[in-house]
Amino acid sequence: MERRGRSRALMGVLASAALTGGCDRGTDRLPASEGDAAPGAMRGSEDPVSPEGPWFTESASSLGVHFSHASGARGAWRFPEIMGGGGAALDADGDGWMDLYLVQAGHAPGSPADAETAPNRLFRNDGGHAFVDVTAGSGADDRGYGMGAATGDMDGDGRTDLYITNVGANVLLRNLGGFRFQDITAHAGTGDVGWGTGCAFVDCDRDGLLDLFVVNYVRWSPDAELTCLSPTGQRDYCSPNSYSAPAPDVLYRNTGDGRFVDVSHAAGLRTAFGNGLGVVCADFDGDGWTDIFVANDQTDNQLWHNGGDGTFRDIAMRAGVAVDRHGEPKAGMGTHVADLDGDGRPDLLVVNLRAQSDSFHRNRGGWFDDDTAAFGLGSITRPYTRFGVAFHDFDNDGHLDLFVANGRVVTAPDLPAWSSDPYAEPDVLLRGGSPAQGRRFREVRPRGGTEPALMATSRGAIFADFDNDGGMDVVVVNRDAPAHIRLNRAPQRGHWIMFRVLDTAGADALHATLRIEAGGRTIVRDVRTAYSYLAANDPRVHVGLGMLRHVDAVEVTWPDGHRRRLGPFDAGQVVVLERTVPPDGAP
Amino acid sequence: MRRIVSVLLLVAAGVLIARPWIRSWTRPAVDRQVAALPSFASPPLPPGLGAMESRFAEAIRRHTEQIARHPDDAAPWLDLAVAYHGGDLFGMAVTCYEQALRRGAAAGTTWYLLAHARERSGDLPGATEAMRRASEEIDAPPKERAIPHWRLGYWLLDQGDAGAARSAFEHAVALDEDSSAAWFGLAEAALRLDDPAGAIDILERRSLLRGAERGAGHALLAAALRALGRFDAADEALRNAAPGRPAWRDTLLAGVSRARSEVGSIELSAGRLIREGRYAEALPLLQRMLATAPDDRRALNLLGTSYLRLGRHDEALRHLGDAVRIHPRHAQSRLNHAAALFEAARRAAATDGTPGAGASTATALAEVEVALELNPESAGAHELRGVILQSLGRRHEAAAALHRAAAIDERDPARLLRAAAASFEIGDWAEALVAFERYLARDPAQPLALLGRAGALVELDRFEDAEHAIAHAMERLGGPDHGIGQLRTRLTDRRRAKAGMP
Repeated sequence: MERRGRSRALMGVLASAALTGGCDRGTDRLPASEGDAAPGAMRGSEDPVSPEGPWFTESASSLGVHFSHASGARGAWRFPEIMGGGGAALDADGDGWMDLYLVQAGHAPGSPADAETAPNRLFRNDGGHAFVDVTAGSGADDRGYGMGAATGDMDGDGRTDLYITNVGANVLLRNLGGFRFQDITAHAGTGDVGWGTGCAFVDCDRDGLLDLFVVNYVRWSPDAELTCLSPTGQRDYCSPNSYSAPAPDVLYRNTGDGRFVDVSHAAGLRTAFGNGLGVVCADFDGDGWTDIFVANDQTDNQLWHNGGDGTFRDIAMRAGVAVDRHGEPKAGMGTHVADLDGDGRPDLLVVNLRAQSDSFHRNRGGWFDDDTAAFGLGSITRPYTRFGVAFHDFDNDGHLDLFVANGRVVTAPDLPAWSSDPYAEPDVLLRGGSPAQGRRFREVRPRGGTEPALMATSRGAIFADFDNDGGMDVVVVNRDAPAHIRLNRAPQRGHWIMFRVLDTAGADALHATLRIEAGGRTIVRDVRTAYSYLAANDPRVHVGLGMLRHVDAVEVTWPDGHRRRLGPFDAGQVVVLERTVPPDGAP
Repeated sequence: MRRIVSVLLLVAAGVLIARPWIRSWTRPAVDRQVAALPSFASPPLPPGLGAMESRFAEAIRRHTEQIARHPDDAAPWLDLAVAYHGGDLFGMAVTCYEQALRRGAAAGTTWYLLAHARERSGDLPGATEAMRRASEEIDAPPKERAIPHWRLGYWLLDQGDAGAARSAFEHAVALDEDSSAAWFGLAEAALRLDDPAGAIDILERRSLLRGAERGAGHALLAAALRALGRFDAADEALRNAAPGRPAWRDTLLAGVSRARSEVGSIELSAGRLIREGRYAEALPLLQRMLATAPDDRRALNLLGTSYLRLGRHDEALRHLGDAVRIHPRHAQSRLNHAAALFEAARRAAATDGTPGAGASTATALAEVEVALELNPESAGAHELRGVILQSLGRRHEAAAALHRAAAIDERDPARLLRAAAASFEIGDWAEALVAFERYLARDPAQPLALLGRAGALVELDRFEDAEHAIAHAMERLGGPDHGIGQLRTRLTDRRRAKAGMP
């Protein structure tokens, strides 16, 4: 009954999106193909892109999202203060509009607390026009020292549940519907007490139940805090290697009765770990089993190859993603995967610290090539310390662009301050090039896509189409500052289509794969919420179509291997792809 | 014909060597690149100068005063730039280098230092621009002129221009055919230009898979083999790979390294933390030192030994190996490296008992013997040699080495105890007794020493003394545990044997 209601709501969204989204460009051609000029962009040089105007409009206040992250910094330089915060975009009530959950920090563990810690906040999306704070009474008001969040339907009831990482015990919130959540951490056994950072729901064993992967950063406690100094001899935050205490990550297997079992040891996860921050899941080698990549801060990354038998093996070094092209472990923060070169394989991006380049690992089929420089990612972002990140086609021209949220982790007394916040930096928006342009990224001006550029110590970046207009928006959580909601207003956006892929319970089918045929090209995308930094994102698959007005066909492969070919579909709508169960129950 | 070719080659070589002078003749009177640099009347100052380490703050004040007195003089701006550079204040160093250039500082090296500081502050395009200028203008012997070319090459690689990078590396090789940095860069450029076979050829021909570049060379080899689809061979190469690019010698940064001694803040802080055993806290400071001066022997050694203390053996080996490569005649560097090699061998033997563990122990022994050649009076080297020999079962040589160490420096009583135990192990009871008694004079309650002394007395058939020693040990240790029962049995057996009893 409820599922039917949800479907009706989604159809409503579909209709409204069809009305508001598509532009009529007349031709049925994908400008993304081999070198055609994209609308409104200057192409062909390495100069920054200066289109007709900003791509985003800062709208947090006008939408009613008044959330200010509080790190609890009080001059004691406790390490967790500089690393948060994050949040999630989730359709909590199944109405087809992405709601927003923002994770609060509060008082760093060990700090004297002179006031009650502020809770995490849940905002209901009212038709893309406004957000309403529905935290009170929702049960989602966790008050731990929060870091990030993961979303997924862990109990198969069709509703999106929430997992929150904290410095201290993590929290699992079961979605009861109607913006009510129940803390089932104790019953589920998922309250890992480390310094949780990235996390992801992922069906590791293909049993139809979402398991849970939790990344831990360092073994830190107030007693273990150190005194670190800036180059000018003043107190500043330490680096993770100061503590020399990387923390092991955790894998919880979902037993299907509302409980999870910690299988980290049996799965092999204790054989390698670092200062973990980012996590992203994908079937990197195309064997049908979802693998897990963990971006570590100044220690080797891990690529956990899923053996399909409940065990994982770290193949990062062998696959060429443990370190960069020069063999250096970088300060891995946020991470994302996308098929950037159009060969159908998920490529991998990790963003890093100031004076380090990003690391773009191009998937060559079983191994990766560090192609950071070839894609133009070697120097543009280098002046900044990067955290939240994702590839999305923000201008819908058929090529993936890149948004990066930035903010320092130590002061830079030698450099001009961007604002009164010594850790603040501008964010960066890069426009993706066509194959004819070598797929090189170039910076979009105004910087960060807004006018004026927004300066903050940005951490988590949450990507979703909040107003269902076919343009990917970005929420940026800023340390000790208001969160930004950047609504996509890129001039002359191309056509678009979005797919919401559901499993048999009506929940988002995480890690299903779509092969979208359009204009003679096949675009491969996955359903994924866990990427960026400390963020859970819009589960819908967004595709920019440029001048194309329809896609010819879509082949969906659900995580259990079931395939279905559907289409054609007109552009400018959210298409819901449901997993039908054959009469004999076979996949 | 041959003569004509020879003449042409000579002319070409002359042009190559004389390029800086030719450039300076041909450069327009108004240098647009210099004119484009921003102009500052007064130098930038870091916030909280008063809170900074006194030597660094004093250097800044001194140079700033000089600038105030001679604002149009390039030298004090350059001095201040180098001080900031040495103190990791790269942004301020950039500003001061630019002002020095505007005031006519020696162009080549200043452009080079500006490039380095810009790169460290995250401005890679600006760094590349400055490095191009440095590569054209540096007035130095050819080997030194090669440095900006290979550095430029790596930065061009980072920006995706592998073709230009290859040209830069070729220039570097033309100036210094022995430059591993340049050849390594050429191999990387070949790989970027889809010529993995060419990359492998360079790695093999230029011996980059052996010696100092071995670890990084194998990492690059693995990438090239993967690109050729030779995955098993790539896996084999990875087994010999080590993270991190070799720390190639950069004499053009020597001034910055010297400035580090003025900076003081980082080095002194790191030294203090290490003395207090706070190794993990010292790491970031030492890494900052190394970032500015990759061949700083002290930083490499401190960093390596800190990692060793923290049990991070791979990183320890890497940094201590770099210290040895850069300073092969420095005895302490060889000793630290030997310790790291031995630790790695012990760890390997403990985990999988591989035959390779023996080979590494032998390498550690060879390394500590080099350290002893360089400094025959190093107690630490004798001691480490003794411990390594023990692990190899060469117990008599080990005991001699450990006694030699104790004889040279007895400040550490543990050294004496180790020597005593080694003598006991080979049945040199008299030597063991002396050493145990010397140790007990300093630490009368040490169980091993108490038991060792009693045991030595038993074996020397000094039964009365042995009885007293056993009783004393029991009293000190609070009971008959700790192997005293075995000692008593041994005493009874020895007495019976002495008396001819069965």
